[in-house]
Amino acid sequence: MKIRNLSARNKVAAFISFAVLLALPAQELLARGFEGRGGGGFEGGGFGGQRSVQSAAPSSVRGSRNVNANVNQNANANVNRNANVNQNYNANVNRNANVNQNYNANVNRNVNVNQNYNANVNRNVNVNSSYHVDYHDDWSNGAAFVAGAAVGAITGAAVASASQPTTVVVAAPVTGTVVTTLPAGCVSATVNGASFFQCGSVYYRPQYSGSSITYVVATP
Amino acid sequence: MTFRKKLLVAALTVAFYATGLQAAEEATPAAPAAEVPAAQPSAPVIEEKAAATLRKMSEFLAKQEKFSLHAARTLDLVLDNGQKIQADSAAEVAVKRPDGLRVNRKGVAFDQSLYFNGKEFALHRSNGMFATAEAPATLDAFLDKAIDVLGVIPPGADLLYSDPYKALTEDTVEGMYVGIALIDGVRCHHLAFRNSAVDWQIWVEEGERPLPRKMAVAARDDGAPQFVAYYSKWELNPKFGEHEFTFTPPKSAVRIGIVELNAAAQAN
Repeated sequence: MKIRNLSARNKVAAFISFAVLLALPAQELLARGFEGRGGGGFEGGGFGGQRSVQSAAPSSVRGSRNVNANVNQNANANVNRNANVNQNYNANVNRNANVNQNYNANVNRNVNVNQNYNANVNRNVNVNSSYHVDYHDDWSNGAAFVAGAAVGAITGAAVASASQPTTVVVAAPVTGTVVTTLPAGCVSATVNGASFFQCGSVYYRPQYSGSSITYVVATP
Repeated sequence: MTFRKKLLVAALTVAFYATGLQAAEEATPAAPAAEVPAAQPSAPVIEEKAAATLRKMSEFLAKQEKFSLHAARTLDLVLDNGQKIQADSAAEVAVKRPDGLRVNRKGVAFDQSLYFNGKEFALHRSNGMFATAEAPATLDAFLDKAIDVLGVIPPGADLLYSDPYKALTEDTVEGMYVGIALIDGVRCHHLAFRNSAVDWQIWVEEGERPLPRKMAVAARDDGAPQFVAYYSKWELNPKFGEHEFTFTPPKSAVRIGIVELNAAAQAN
């Protein structure tokens, strides 16, 4: 997937100033992740390939305020760091320094994940062969529609590939990685009263991020 | 001319000039006043008729102690190749001032509800997952927390504040009165505003119930993705049950956590 020039995107990202940084649950394949492969009901179209959502319209005036400050402060800095879209969006969300710091570490790890999986992902993505856009709940102020969602899709696809005979060695996702889609074959599990999804040896804990649901790799 | 006459002329000139400015604005409703008065470089320039219409709507909404409405919403998603795809959803919104809000949203992939009752806030999704959190005591404070801290924007959020005029125009740079438009067969005042980051429009019903019938918000950049909402089925004295705004998790529901995206924002 080509990484486009993001300077304009950064401005949109800045509009969407409460980004869910990592997994940026743009492609919330909730129906698929939950009901297993093939569930969900809005696949199909057969255009080939899979598109991710880069951004979305702001759905509230009040939710778009103070954006200008972020744009002015961060646009230039972000352009220089365009390689990782997640980083760009992190920098735009200046409201909570701690959140940015916490997620930055994870984001860096996610970048590595992307690199490791890239070769496999290109094949896996096409397996699904459906042109679809994951409709995202528009209650979050668009933050969810940020490109880092690709992380979720890629990770899911790559993890799924591990169960297929053609083998590619896939590293397990790092604790704290946030994804928007569960890989196939997960079962729900309750550990010490808390709910998880167990996918092979990896546990994911579901959480609301904005008004979307994402899954965090966790140790139960 | 006697001195007194000169003084009178001077006073009348000043008075005329002062009112003349306002008259000039009202006389040209179609041309947005783009010039910012030199003395206040950052003051928003909102045409008087637009401001008055919006205020009337705001006061009318603020006066309603209970109301419910239906929102039909379309949101542009921008794909990685620049293509825009629309996502449609519908929401029922119920409000009881000062501390009740319920939203039931149906869209593609899942349905989701939001509950706020002045003590607790809950999100419940049709897949069975839910999250609850402590909530502030008033709707205004809850909307601020939801938008700024949790990243949740309830449908129609701008209109639910106790002072919608303020919530909408806080960041406004320009505002104009466009004209009368028919929304769903109803005559509405069409207003258009520019904020520092977005352009937005609102259509306010003409007449005795100055209710918002349609709203549009668009980012100015990046293909200008649009959000449009049609508001209908306004009920201004609905009957609410005792537990209208309180969520009781069904037995099979699974509790999950909720992330605070911007915890520090609350300190701002």
